[in-house]
Amino acid sequence: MQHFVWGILILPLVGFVVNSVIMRLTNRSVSWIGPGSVGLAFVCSLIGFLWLQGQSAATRHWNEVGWNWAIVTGSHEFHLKFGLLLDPLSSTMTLVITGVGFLILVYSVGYMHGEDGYRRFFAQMDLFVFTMLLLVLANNYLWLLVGWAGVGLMSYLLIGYYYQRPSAVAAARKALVMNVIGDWGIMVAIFMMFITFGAVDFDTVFGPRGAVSLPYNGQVITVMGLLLLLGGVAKSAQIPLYTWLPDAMEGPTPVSALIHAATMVTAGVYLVARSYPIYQQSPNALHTVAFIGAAGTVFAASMGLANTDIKRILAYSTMSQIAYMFVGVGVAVYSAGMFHLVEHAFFKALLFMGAGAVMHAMRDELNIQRMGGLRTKLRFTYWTFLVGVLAIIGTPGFSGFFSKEDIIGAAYARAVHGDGWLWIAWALTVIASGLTALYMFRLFFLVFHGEPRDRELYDHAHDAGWAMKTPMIILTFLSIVGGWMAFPGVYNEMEAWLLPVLHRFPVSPQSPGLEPQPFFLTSMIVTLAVTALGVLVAWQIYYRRQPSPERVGALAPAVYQVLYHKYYVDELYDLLFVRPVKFAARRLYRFFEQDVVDFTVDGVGKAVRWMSGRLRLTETGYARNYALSILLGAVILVGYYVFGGR
Amino acid sequence: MPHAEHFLVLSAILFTLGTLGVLIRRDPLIMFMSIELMLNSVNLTFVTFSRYLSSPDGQIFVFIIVTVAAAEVVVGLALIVSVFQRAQDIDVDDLDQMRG
Repeated sequence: MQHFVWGILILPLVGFVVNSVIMRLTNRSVSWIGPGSVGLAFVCSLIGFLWLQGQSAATRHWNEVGWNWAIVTGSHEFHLKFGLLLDPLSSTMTLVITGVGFLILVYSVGYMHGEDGYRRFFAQMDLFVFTMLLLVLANNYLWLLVGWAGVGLMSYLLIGYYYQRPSAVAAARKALVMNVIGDWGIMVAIFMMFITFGAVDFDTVFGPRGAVSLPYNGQVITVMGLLLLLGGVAKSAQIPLYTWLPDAMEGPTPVSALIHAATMVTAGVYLVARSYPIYQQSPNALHTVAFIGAAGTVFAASMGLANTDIKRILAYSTMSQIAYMFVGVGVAVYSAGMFHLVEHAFFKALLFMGAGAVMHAMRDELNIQRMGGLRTKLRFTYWTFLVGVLAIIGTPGFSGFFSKEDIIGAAYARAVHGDGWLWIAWALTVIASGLTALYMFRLFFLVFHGEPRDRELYDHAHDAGWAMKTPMIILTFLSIVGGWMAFPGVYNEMEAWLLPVLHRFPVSPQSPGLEPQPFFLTSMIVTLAVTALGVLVAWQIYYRRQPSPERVGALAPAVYQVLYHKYYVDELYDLLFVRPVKFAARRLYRFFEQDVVDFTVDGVGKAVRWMSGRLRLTETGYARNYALSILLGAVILVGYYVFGGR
Repeated sequence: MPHAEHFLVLSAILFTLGTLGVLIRRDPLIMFMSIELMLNSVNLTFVTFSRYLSSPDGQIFVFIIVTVAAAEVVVGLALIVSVFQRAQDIDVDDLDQMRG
């Protein structure tokens, strides 16, 4: 049964190969092969999941070794194997990737209908799913990095899907550059592992002679954790490497839903959860994770307040929600981060599908200022979107409530148990939950309520077809019941499911404990109160319009401007990095490229041309000249043998 | 009684004449004849050595050369006819398309 893990990995690859190699495939076949291969991979993931469920906690993992990839002999004996690891953590990820991925691909069949490059889209989506699965199934860091870089590449290709549009190409390039910074971090971390542990596979790095054998909170382990975190920060769009994510919304909406909301951007959370023995050994690195997350929750949410682009607001909310997951894993309650990852995949994919349905109805209009009143026109989208909004802000009963409560409660519990710094993290996450309610309901009211602000677009609006509706219905269902696998303070199936992973490797006794955290009602009540306040403010301003949004904006124009311009971070990065590099490049072009390289290359060309000009004089075209040179050659050869050598 | 030297000197003279013919004459037919002359002067050398060394090897070479020369004549004449048809002229110096 456990060997079905190969099927999870290989089926999407087969889908990619078939879709990209067979040129004469009709769009109809592509629509079957693209989602179908991922759907079959989901079945394999389910089989793997059920197999794991049947195992006892001690044996709930399967290390499937494929083959030797590299063998180094000598003083540094080193074997690198290609192998897959199926355990509750990777099984959870494969279920999310293939399950939500399948639904989004089905949705794409409706959404991408009639687009140019239909086959290219599905081929690349299949390849993305394959690389993402490679990332989560690899049993060593090197193959994890291969998948890691692979999803970065597919993200680049799919953001730049509309390659005729300069803004899309620029966004794709930006995403790639920022992701490669993160790839570099992981690469250096792998080098460090190789030097310190002599291996890069999880079993050795996390084993008794791995992370736990290094000094507690020592330099090596902290640097290793921070380098891994650099990768996670770049991939998961956290401070300071987040500016690519809003721009990535240039890609088609299903791409935003799958790659830039549900799966790829949460890889950083997976990486930290997977590397927990390293972070357990270094509280400093762990605190960095928590505080980057805590700052990110508020920072991203505040940028969502002033934006007017429906997809970019969702991008900021993604960034904010992933920041929550970072807080969850950063306070060493890894299951909380993973729990929110799963729930977020459900409701954020749903929200993006809703945004896609709105765009579909509004002729690809993205500006929420030109929408409004769509409640009557898009009844289906209205209700599903409402469920998504309720889930993301953490309304009791909806999935986001349970997972977010898990995280905020964990931060509170850690703070109560003596880690005083975490009070700040807790406070930030609570403030962010209020902001989340505010900007999500602002978006919701501006799009679906009020008067239509663009009559012509409004009149042509209509709900989407069934290929798009069916996945939305399933995700709506999951956005409600998906969270019921835990109830704060009563039971937590997610934690119980992931606990064998956390108990598999030794951790230092000084490290923050991995046992389930106690539940505090205070934290939950405060969070719910702040959230309710956020909803109330949004209701007043954007539904009743008393005071109107314009008047609120005019209260503090400077604040509004700063938020609207995203804290001028793009401009800052432009000034700090882009301009100096461009300046240096121009100088180098002038003084090195032109004066040195071009001079040399042109000089070689000129010399060859001059010499051949001389040489061509010998080529007269007269047969007897050639005959004469043959004769002379013969005379020289004969002369050499007669008079000279032997 | 003629000695080997006589034959060899005659062969050398014939070879030189053939070479000069190839190099100097502009009529392809004459050049062709000169090439045949060079081939046959070599044949004469082979036969001479064969006779004076009492070895049949040289004569075998001669047979091969005569055979190849016959084949070569066919190709050469065909080339000349073809050139004549294209250029309506048989001055080899006009065939200088290969000039660099």
